[in-house]
Amino acid sequence: MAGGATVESAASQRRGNLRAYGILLFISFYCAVPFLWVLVASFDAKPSQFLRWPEDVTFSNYSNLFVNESGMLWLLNSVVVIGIATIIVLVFAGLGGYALSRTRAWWKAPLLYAIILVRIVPPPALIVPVYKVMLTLNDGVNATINAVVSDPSQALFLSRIFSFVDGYLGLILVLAAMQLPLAIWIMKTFFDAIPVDYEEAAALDGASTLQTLRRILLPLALPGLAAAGLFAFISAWGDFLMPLMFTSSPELQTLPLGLFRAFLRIDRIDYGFLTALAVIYTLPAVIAFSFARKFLTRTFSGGVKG
Amino acid sequence: MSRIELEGVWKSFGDVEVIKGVDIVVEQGEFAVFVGPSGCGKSTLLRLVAGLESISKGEFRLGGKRMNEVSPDRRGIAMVFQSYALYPHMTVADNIGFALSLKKIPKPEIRKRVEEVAAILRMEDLLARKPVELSGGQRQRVAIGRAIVKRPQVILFDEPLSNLDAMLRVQMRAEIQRLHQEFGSTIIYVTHDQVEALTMAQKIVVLQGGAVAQIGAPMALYKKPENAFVAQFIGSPKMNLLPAQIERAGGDSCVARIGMQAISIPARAGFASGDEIRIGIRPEHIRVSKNGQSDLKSSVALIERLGSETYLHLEAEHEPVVVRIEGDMQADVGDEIGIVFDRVHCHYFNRSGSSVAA
Ligand SMILES: Nc1ncnc2c1ncn2[C@@H]1O[C@H](COP(=O)(O)OP(=O)(O)OP(=O)(O)O)[C@@H](O)[C@H]1O
Ligand SMILES: [Mg+2]
Repeated sequence: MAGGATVESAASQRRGNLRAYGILLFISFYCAVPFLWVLVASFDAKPSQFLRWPEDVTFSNYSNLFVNESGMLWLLNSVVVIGIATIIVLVFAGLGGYALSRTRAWWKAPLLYAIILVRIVPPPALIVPVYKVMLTLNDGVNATINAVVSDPSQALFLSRIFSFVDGYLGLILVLAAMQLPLAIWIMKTFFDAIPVDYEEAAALDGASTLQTLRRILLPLALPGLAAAGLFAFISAWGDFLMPLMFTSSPELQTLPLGLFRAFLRIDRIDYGFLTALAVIYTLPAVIAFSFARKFLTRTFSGGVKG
Repeated sequence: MSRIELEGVWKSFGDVEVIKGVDIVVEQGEFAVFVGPSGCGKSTLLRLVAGLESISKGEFRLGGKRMNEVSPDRRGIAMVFQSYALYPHMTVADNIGFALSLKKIPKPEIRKRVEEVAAILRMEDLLARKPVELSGGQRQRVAIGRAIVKRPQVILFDEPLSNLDAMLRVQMRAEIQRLHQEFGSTIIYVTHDQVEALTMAQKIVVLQGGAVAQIGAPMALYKKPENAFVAQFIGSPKMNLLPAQIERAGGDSCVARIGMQAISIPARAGFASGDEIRIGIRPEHIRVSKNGQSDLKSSVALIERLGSETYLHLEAEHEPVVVRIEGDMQADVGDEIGIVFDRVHCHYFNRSGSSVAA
């Protein structure tokens, strides 16, 4: 009798599992449909608004994006701007997070909360003051460029790079500044968990500050840097507001702006073009994640006892 | 070259004074042990020598040269941390070789010296592992290897054996002493375990509340403690201290009163009638009276039988007294027992705890 009861409960358990998996599968599919549609439609010669297998599988949407339109320029702009911004974030968050973790100064806590406050204010609320500041700096930069360089084409080139408004530098700095607070917090918390003993041991082994940084702290901080860098990259990569505010020249256009403006074109809505652009826009984020994943899971232990 | 001198050294963290005017000399090649209860400032003192903390007042000299302002990486001192602090992302070989690699020594040379050290510490088969894959004792050995590979003039140990089991501790103790004989480095070894201090040290520095309680050779501290703290801290089980009052002083002997009982003790220059003193006597220097003649009457509170020896925990005039007896002894809890003090081994401490010399 007892055996029969177990068999029955096992069977009912299996039925329960089946139902649960069925529901989960449905939800997963529901969530995945938009992504699937984007991916499939980007290879469809005549894409529609519905998810269906393309009659003609084609790369024409991609060639259209890269050959006829300035897709390559947008992609490069995005990669360069976000890439440099992420590197800046990593350097400052690494050093700043370390300092904030190790200092015992009384202003430590107030400063930490002040830093995160930047992140609490919604970015649109910051647009006006930030734009004002950047505009003032921009006047200074351009005045300097015009004073130093006489050749107008050279001046234009320099201005494109170093301008605070409608220039690479401005966009990079604004994007980095937006991502820095969270990254500093991540790194500060991460360094809190690394005992100071390692640095002291390195000092007694004869390591200079620079050697300790490179050979001990950097390797130990890698998982933290990977996390902070990944968050910064993905968040900046998805940022639409800052490129919109701080760039206007077509030469500076980044991917999200390109996507947005292509969507707004009134003469036609080219789903193939839009979906190809969306796929290209998504890829770097996925690559960044798979790259960071290796470091994220690597944690160190066993160096200090108890 | 590596004589260590601490002169009037103070250390405070904010308002808290942790080291209060310490004078210590450790000779070149000497094995010195700093011992004291938890929180007395042993680690802090070691960190001052290593350069990990700055000295608030006073001077630290190494080989006659003032070192206060020299950064830790330039002092030529190695340290084995209380926490081991092995670099978790490096293999054992890289951990040991780290100091050498910083000095731009060629790789084959580093390999050779790492293997030498590994052979000395019997851990050749561990070199490829990461710290997380090691047992406590193995980590301990790696930490020591990392210290000795530089052939430093001075090695500091901060309670290195506190995490090991009793057997391994004895073994590692012998190993560290062997290393000392082999390399002749000056060693400062910190522990709160007085047995470790007595067995390993050439010189013991007893610390109490951030100050030196006494410095001396192990047997000197055992035989001639300068104060009640050292008397009780050194030796196991600890020395009995019985509060007493001098009743009659003068002549060759005087009478002291312990509770309701009187005991005759040798006269000391410092004694005067009415003085409150404490009489110190180690458990191994008390006998149980066999003939009814005794210094103190007591009752048995507890008996510990270890086979080779027996510890009688007695109570005399509401004071606990421990007596060590060779072999076994027939007695029951509650028995009345008379005890006799070996006067040669009695210590007398005045109210402030200082020993009153003969
Ligand atoms: N950075 C610090 N700030 C404030 N107080 C400290 C600091 N480091 C140590 N202390 C205090 O100094 C005293 C001595 O500490 P220390 O670590 O030297 O003790 P210890 O003798 O090594 O003890 P243990 O045997 O437990 O290791 C302690 O009371 C401790 O609280
Ligand atoms: Mg300590």
